[in-house]
Amino acid sequence: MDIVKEVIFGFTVALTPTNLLYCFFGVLIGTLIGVLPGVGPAAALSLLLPVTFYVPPVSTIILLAGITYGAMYGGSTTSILVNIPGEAASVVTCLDGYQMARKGRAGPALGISAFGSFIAGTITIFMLILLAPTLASMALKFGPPEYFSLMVLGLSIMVYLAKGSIINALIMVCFGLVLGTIGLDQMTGMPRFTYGINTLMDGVGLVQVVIGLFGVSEVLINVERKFKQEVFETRVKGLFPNREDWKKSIGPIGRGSLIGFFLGVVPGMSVVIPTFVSYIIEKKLSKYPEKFGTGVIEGVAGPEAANNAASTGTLVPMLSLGIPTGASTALLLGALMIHGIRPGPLLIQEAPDVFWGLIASLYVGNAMLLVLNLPLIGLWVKILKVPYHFLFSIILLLCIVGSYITNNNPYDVVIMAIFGLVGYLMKKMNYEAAPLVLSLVLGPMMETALRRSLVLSDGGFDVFFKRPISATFLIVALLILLSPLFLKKKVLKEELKSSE
Amino acid sequence: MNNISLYGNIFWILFSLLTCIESYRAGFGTITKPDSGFFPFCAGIVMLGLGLTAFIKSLGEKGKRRGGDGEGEPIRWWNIPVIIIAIILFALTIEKSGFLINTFLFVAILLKVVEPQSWKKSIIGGLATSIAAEVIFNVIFRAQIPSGILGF
Repeated sequence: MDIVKEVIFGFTVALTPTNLLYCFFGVLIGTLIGVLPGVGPAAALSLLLPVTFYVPPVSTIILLAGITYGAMYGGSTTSILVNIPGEAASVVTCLDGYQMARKGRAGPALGISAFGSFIAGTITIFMLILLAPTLASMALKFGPPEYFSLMVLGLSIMVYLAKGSIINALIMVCFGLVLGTIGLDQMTGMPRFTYGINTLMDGVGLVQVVIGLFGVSEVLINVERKFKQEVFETRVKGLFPNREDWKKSIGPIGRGSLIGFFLGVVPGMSVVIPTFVSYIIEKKLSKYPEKFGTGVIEGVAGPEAANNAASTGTLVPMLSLGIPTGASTALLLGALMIHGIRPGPLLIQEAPDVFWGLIASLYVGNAMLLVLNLPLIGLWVKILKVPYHFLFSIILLLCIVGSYITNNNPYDVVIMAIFGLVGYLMKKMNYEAAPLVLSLVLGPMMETALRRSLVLSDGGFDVFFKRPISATFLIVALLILLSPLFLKKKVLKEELKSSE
Repeated sequence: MNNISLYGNIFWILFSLLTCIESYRAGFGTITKPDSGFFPFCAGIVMLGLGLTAFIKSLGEKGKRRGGDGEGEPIRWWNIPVIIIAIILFALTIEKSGFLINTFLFVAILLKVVEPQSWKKSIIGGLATSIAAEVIFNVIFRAQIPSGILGF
């Protein structure tokens, strides 16, 4: 009954006119970002982060969370209509969504993706309500060694799932950890790697790094070659799926919700992997797997439910343990920390309005998206027709403004430009940015946990193996990293190739 | 793998060596009392090992080239330095010349150079974007981006 009271309290917070307005703006901007190819939710969050300095913490988190799950809705629109995923989590939707559009079934594809996302959102919010407080109370027993080992596990999973080679992903993790140490040492106050540059005293800003790696580098990659902008000319009609469509989709939506949520909870898994897993499972379960890729509705319903569910799932470790699972949750965490709120086991007790207000806003936001998105599809299609040379200038301008207004420091923009170039080169050499960003965020926390653990120890690293929870996390991390040596090829990656 | 990977791995080896040297200078401490350089030193050592492994691997695979999306299309590499330099110049001059002027020049130049448009389109695009950006950021959001020589 306590949970019911807390949820009602959450709705009283989320339904205030101010928070409703922020939720509305969040989901609207998120959808727009999802629609626009080249700007992902991480870049959008970093662009808007400075704006939230003047906004109360509850409204901030409602606005920013709205962007993350709004982008999941928006991303599907471009996947279905243009065959260009607005963001990475919608890549799988292209496979069958675009084919449905070509067959004149763009309406049901867009409809089932919106309804599927809404149903998944609804199911997973209840799971979040049940799981986050339980995990938070368990995490109260965690000490520095457990936290350190958990973060090692999260990074290991992200490395394992990285697209390129595991060595490249591990290099990115180390690079992020080193970048995270730039600035004043949190424990001794000693400057490190600053070379007398004042801008570096506070460290390399997460906002500048993320905007550079995701926003600027994406534009650089796109302008390198002539941009092909093709919007499939089709009349989007009949957005409501018929009885047959529902019959085929309800199973994939249910499975996609569960897969998305539980994989989203795992640090390092991000929102992208669950969509692929959902697609593969639907293909395996289907009576006609050979038709996948030719425009079957199950290929849209499952992954779309999974990406929305995963974006809710990623909030579980962020809220209950204070550990981000990817770039977007790292930015949400950063936003709360800027407001003096420390996500973690004590969040529910110390800032119940933030925790329960956010959960209620997820539901309100999902409902808003359903009402908003279906009638606005025509508008999103028109936006897709804006010439790319105008779009990229505006995206770059937003990147500059977003970097600058964090500290009103022009050198922050220079740092962003440098990371834009770094991100471009990383893409050229098949290095992934996500492990770098996650380790940059986790780095300072890991360092503190490591040093505290070693101070607590009797003089050795065995402190991490003497404690059962910590030892379990480390052993699992080690098994994950060593598994490619025993398994010749990653099963998931092979499946993905065959799907494509 | 190709030469790019080889140079990339050499970069990581040099970067990790620099990290180790600088971390050692910052103070390593002891296992029970780790100092400021302890954590980055450990990260640097791991990165050095990984960089060396990748370097040796790329030596063995030198010469093999991968096909990529859009291979065969001409790469407009000049767009990359143009954009990076334009962003840096925007940043370094914003406090003197101001947001409005810089935005106009930035957008107009990008429209003219990166994806060449007519002068008329570039100037109108730059003008419209700069006015809209000024209204959105400085008037609505009160972001206090410098107004520079124009004073508003």
